[in-house]
Amino acid sequence: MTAANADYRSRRPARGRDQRGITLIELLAALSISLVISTLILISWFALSGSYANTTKRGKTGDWARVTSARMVREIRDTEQPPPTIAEVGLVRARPYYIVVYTTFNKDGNASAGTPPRLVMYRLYSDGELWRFHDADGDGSIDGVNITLESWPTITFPLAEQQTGEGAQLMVSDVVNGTTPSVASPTALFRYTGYDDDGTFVTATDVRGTTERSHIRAVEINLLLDMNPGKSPVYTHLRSTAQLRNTR
Amino acid sequence: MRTEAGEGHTEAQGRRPHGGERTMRSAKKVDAARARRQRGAGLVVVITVIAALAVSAAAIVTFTGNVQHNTSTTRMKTKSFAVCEAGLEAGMAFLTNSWPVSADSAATFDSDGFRDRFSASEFPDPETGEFIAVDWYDDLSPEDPDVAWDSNGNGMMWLVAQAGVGSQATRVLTMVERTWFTMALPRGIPLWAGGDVESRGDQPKIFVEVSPPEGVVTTVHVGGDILVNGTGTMTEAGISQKTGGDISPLDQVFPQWLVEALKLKAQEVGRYFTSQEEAEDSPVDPVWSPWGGLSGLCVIEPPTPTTILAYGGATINTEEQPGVFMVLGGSTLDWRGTAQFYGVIYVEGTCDFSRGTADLHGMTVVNTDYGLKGTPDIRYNDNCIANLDERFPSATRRVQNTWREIQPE
Repeated sequence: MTAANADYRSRRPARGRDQRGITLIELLAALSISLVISTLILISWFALSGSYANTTKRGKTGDWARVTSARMVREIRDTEQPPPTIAEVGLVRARPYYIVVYTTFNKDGNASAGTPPRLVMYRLYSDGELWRFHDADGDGSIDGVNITLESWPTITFPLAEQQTGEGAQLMVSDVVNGTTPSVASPTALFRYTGYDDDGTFVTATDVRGTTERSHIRAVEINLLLDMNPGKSPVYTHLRSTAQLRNTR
Repeated sequence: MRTEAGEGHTEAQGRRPHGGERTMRSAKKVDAARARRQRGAGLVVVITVIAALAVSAAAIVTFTGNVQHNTSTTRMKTKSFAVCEAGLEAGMAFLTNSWPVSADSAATFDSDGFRDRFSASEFPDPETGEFIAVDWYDDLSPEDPDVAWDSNGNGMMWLVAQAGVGSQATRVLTMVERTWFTMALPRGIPLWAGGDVESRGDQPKIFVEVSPPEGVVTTVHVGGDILVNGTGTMTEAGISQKTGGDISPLDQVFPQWLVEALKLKAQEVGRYFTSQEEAEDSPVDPVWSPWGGLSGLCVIEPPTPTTILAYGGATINTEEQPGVFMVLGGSTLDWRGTAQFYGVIYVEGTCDFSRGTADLHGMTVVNTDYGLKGTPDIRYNDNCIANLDERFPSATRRVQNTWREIQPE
């Protein structure tokens, strides 16, 4: 017997112990534990990814809402009377879901007194989108939109205006004024305050007539936004008031 | 790392020259140790969790930073707008008292004083430009921003304010107009005295220099008696005299609210004095005291009743720019010399208009007694009364429908 065979025999029992493997129970236990851990990891991962996406969306929507609100305030605040040849007042329409004003805000040459104001409209649609339109060609009207439509409490403006309206610009999406707190009792996007001829303080969401509209001194903007549709919190309320500088 | 170091150490041991059983045992130990070390997934789990947390943390940090930035921008924008409107108001207040009526009289807005009203921590200096800039120019056509005074004399100018706070700036433009202190004094009254009037020497002493509007009879109102010490009558022909209970009440001639308003305005513009010397030494102001001293709006109210002795030969005011001279607090006005005064004199005490040859062109109102001695005269001048209604500005206000927020420069 060679030394090598002797060595082989003496080594064989030890190798058998080393190579005996794991039992089925151990395997199942290991798999179960691995499965649980993997599931937890995936759940955490998806939750965090979703959280990241939500956070990003909230941030973007919040930014847009903030910009929209600021833009509306500045533009409405600048409302001024049109030239004497136009038999209208600065606030041409004062409705719950839309407003039409004459303004020079952000218009080229507005530092010159000779630059006339232009028509600008903000309108909320049933798809939750708030759009801005303006008289881009200076012909005295906003083509492609109807500024005499009635819509309350349901929002029924034709969505085609978003494509055909002059100077159309999407300001912000996911506006839920039309369904908050309920469809039957929605929240007006605009609320108007002023003083009657006898000095009585008046507030309304719908003001008709040039005389009545000329009494408006401030426009309150209530922008209800669903930052993450389908997820809580249900909506965020941005509220601001534009004091009309040229009617005081 | 620890595993690699251990393996290296093991290999080094395996190459030892001793060999045999010892080498085999060492190899088994290494295998067992390696198996123990490599059987779990802890490192993978830890790395995964850390990665997930890192993503979440990055999202939160990004979102928070974004929100903070936007909030800061919005706050700065709001502040710059507020400062800009405050600058506009301050500019209007400044123009009320310093309306530039000529190229030479164009004053400068005190930007530094305005800046001092705002804390630097809450209203940081702008990254570029000035904290506040308030300018004005005349409403000419075509527009010319270089004409920084009311060159067409219509009482209107453009006022523009620009404010910079932090990274944000706001610029607002509006037209402003002067509003006047409307006194609405009654016409045709050369003298109103609450007490007696004594007229000595040559008569008459009260004349009409410029007649009142048609239909108005020039009338002297004396609450007491008219005492003439000499020959003739105190007033020239055509001037009516009312005495006693027939006179118009003082509230209809020079009402108390007007006294208070003029006093308040004089205090605002530095034309309120407590002594005669202080008033006589006062400087020229293009609007409120065109010739300095007693000219323009001048209110003297000594703390205790005394005698204001006015004399000299200067011409004080003009028919086009009449003045209002008021002596309050019960002091006596003793007017002498050869001075020619245009406008209205109001005295709460007595008035002694004597000696010399001085003339009052306009109207005199005295609460109590009035003495006319020597050769001084009162010459009713309707132009002086009429021109007082657009003589002193009361405020500068915005012209409606001219307010615009424009692009900052």
